[in-house]
Amino acid sequence: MNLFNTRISKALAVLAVLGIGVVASWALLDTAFHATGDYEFCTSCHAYEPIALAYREDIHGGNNSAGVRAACNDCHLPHDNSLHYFWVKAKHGAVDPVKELIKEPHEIDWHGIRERREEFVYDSGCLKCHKYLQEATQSSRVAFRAHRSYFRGETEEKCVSCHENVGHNRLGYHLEQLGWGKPQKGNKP
Amino acid sequence: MKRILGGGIFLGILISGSWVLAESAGISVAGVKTLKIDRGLSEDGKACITCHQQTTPGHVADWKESRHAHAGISCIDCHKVAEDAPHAMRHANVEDTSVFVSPLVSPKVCGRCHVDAKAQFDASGHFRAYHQIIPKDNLHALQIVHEGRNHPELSGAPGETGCMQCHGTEIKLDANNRPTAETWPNNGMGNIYPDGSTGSCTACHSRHKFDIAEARHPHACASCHLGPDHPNIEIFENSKHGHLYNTEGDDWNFDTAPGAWEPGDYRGPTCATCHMSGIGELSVTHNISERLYWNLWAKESKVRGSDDVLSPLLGDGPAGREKMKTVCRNCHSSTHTNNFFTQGDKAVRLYNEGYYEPATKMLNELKEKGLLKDNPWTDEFQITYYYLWHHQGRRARQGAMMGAPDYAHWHGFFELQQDLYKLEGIHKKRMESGEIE
Repeated sequence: MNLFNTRISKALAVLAVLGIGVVASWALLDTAFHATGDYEFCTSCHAYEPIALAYREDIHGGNNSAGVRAACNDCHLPHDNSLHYFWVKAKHGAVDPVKELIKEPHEIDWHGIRERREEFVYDSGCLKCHKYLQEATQSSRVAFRAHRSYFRGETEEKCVSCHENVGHNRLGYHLEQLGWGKPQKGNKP
Repeated sequence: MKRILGGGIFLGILISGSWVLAESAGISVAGVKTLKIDRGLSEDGKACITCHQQTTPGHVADWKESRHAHAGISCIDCHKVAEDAPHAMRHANVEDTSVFVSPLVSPKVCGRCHVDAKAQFDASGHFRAYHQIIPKDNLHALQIVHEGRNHPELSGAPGETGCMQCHGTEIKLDANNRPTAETWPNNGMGNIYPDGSTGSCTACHSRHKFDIAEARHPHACASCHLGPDHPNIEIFENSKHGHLYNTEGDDWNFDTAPGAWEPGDYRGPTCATCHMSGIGELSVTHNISERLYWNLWAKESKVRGSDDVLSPLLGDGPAGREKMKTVCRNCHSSTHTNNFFTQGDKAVRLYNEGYYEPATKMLNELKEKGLLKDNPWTDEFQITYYYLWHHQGRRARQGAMMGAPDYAHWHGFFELQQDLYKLEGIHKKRMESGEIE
């Protein structure tokens, strides 16, 4: 009986510790993800100054009457599954600060990077907030035709293929103001 | 008294009549002036229409007849661009708006909704219309040095008013991001727009109506496919198909939905029917190379077989022939269809073997011996060789493959044999004397 009691209490203790560990690690990761996923953290590097300026005056950056804003990681991380999300975040978390350290801000070719926007703006992010876009666009004469091929899977185009500057509407202007010059070539076809 | 009364009434009618006339002369009664649309248009969109129905009523008159107007697509949906787009400009006289616009509407813009059409166009021979000119030094020399007389200021005129208007150009921008007079306006098929996309939807679907019926008429193609070097509209008119179109095309239905335009809407095909339209089992395509077997415009005709959009042999010849036969079989028997292509192929092969090969052999021999002039446009041999493949050779081949007897024969093979005899004469003289006459 005594033995049994000891076993049970040991098992309970292990479970409790495990449970606390799981909850604590979730809390830790979740806090870390949120603390490192928004404007204040992401744009603390110098090279991100124009990105931050363009974002803050954009409707997605909080310049709207509802006081809502999309955080950086809402758009720039995949939201299709948690492991993918974690992997891409870890990759950027490792690569981006290193680049900030070894490069002068103006060595970063923002104009060129913008042309590759489909690679780092994730449709799963857009659709997380714009969850009912398919239904919503069906009732608009203008939006229906433009989105039909997308939702039917008949096109390879991503959200940002058409909504080119979304989130950073006047980024070209800010890049030019802060010394990044004019883009040499137009966007890709 | 009666007479006075009658005169008075008559005068009254006359006066009021002239008042009505004066009134209608004084104010415009064009329907478009009273256009008021609220249906699904944004405030910015309505503002464009409100002003432009006064300033450029032609734009709005076209648009209100268009399917775009039915669908609620207005000026702003296509002309609005991002502030930092390469071609973004403030609207003249409307500096206080936050909206940036451009007169340039690229295929990329059209492709936002017309996804398939753009993808098919990007894989078609039309995509190459301007791109193919870029590396051709001899063509630039012809335009600028010979035709443009190397004039310090005016040498661009032949290219700008000629070549570019059909082939397109790279549209350049001035300091205010407006297109330059050297590069715009034009409706060239292969324009490269400042946003990087290639094409020109308005080449066939003219602005601002963008009509499917218009593009199904042969005239849409004819504004470029005409003249001595590719008389395709003349070939069409010479053909039985053109005969039908010219006699009763006015009564045909050109407005059927895409993919549903079938025999019955028409009694004979137009360019679009065979080269693009959904007919029978075939789907609509904006890839005009898809149903072709030969290249019929190069110096030598070869069977198509390339995935490279910049290759003159773009397409899959045997598959293209099968598709074209599928078109024919909607109205013709298999025997009729097969025999027609046997006739045409024979003519193309005769051009290759009977004209292109011997003429090119002579050209190469003279080149090897240094018996060609440096300026090809003063050299009788080189000029005749050029006409042989670029003018008469195309007419013979294209005339034969599209059922135009006069172009296959009198404008084609008849002139080809004359050219070849002339080339043989010059070749013999130069080889014997060792000098250029």
